[in-house]
Amino acid sequence: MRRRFADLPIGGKILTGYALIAGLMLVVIIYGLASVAWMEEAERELVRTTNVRKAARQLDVDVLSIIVAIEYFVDTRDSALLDELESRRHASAALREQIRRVSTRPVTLAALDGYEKILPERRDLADRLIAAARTNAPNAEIARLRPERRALDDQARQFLRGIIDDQEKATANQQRVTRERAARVRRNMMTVSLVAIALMIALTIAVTRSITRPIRKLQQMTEQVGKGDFSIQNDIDTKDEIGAFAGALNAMAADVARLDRAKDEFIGLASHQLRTPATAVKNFIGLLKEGYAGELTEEQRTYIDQAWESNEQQLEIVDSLLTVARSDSGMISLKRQRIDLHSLVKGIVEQQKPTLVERRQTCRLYVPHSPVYAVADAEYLTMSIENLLSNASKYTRPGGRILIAVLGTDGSACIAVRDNGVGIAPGDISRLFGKFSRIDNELSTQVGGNGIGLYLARRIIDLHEGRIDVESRPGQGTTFTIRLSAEAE
Amino acid sequence: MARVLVVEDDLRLKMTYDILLKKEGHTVDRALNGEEALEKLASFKPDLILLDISMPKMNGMQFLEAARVRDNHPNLRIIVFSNRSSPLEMEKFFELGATKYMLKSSTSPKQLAALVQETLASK
Repeated sequence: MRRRFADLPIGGKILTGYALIAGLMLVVIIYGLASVAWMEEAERELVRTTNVRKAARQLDVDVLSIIVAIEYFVDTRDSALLDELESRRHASAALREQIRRVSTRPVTLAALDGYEKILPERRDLADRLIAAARTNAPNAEIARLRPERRALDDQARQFLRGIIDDQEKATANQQRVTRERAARVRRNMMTVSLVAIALMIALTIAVTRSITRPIRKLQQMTEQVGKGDFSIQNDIDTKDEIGAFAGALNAMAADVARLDRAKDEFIGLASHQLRTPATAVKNFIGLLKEGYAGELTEEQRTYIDQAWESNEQQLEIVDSLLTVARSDSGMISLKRQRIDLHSLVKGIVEQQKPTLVERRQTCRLYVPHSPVYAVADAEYLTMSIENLLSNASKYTRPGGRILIAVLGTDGSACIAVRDNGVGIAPGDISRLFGKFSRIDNELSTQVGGNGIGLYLARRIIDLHEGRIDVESRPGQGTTFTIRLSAEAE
Repeated sequence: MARVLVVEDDLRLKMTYDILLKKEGHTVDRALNGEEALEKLASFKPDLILLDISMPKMNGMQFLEAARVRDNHPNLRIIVFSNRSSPLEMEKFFELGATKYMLKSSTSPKQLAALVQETLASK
């Protein structure tokens, strides 16, 4: 079910969401209509009961009028009121008919039955009483009929009272039922609406999430790829547009990973191929220069020295150019790890020792007692520190002093390379880190530089999101400082 | 003087080490890769090996693993040399029994001769 939904195209997902919401709204509407009908039924019942009550009251009034009319005629022989008798009787019959038709209450119906049972007798007595009064019958006859008729009237009115009381009760009851239903409908509609709204919100969130969750995954993946981790692949395999996009991204990342490996192999091979013959040249020249093939004439020595310097430059340029090529094409992917800066710097100084010894320069290493760590790519960080150290050595006179200090503070590590060399003029500092930019000073003509070292050092530290700063006083010395994060991001 | 085995796949480069070490008075034999070096280890019985890292067939690291230098040849000195490697990567070579490390492109013949002497004198 979940799987089938995930495979729907985005439009299908949104439509499904809307359909479910519409279904929910339909349920709420149907429930609302049913509630209204239920309330209307209670109201109709109330109207019916009220009508029966009214009819019963009217019946009572009519009966009382008839009684009064008869009593009045018997007393006064004035027939004014008798004229209405028939129409009153007729009306009361209609009211009785209405009550019987409408009411369903047993008490009312039983009272009505009782009333109608004594009706013919009452009517007969009334007619006889009226006839007696009309023919001026002896008072004894009237006096006999009158109480009989009155007793029956009382009975009849008691029945009517019963009907009225019963209908009063029914009306009050129905009013209560109607009120209760209204309250229940209000309460239930509120609950149903709130539940429906909550469900709609949950549904909207679920549908939106089902679309955004994989997109967020892909965003994280592309960020990783952007950081140079091409080995990453996503696990989204749904059959919707996002699944297709994810598949294409996976294929692209795999392609980039393949190209990245090919690039590494090429650069590795190229640097090996370029460096090996240059090293052989260095060794042959070295054998001549260092007297392994006998003493050299002054002229031969001069040429050999020049060849030696050119070869040194060539080796340096090969190193630097390959790294510049890699960094410029954004092909450097840092392999960051936690590095003990003490042993790293120690290794670098150890490697450059022969050159330092040759120039009679001292290099002191200052490190704190507790180890200092940085999260960096060992090979590239080594390269930039090497560049700083070899620069310090090149631009310091023979016999000069170099100090390398490693410092750790909270969350960051710092490597400073300080010399007491020729220094840099304030005006030159701004173009110090430019590509192929060289600074003129009293030693620069003797130094075989290519203007790449500091450019590379800066590029590498930038890639690490670190900082490289320089402080210099002409004639007194220069300090380069690298600052790096000590913790992984 | 000592018996030195040069393990290097580039012929001219190998020739320069051969010349230098012979002129320094050592007995020198050569191997083109790790496999040959393993054979020479038994037949030539060197005191010191100059070991290149990247070579065809069997590279320097594989040679050190195969020869089990630490256990089988405790007196053998090994100078690992290459054209670029980070100092951190070197720790693995030292664990496998290498004595010293040098960067080919920044070591002159005289410096290498001195390094060989120094290495032979150590231990």
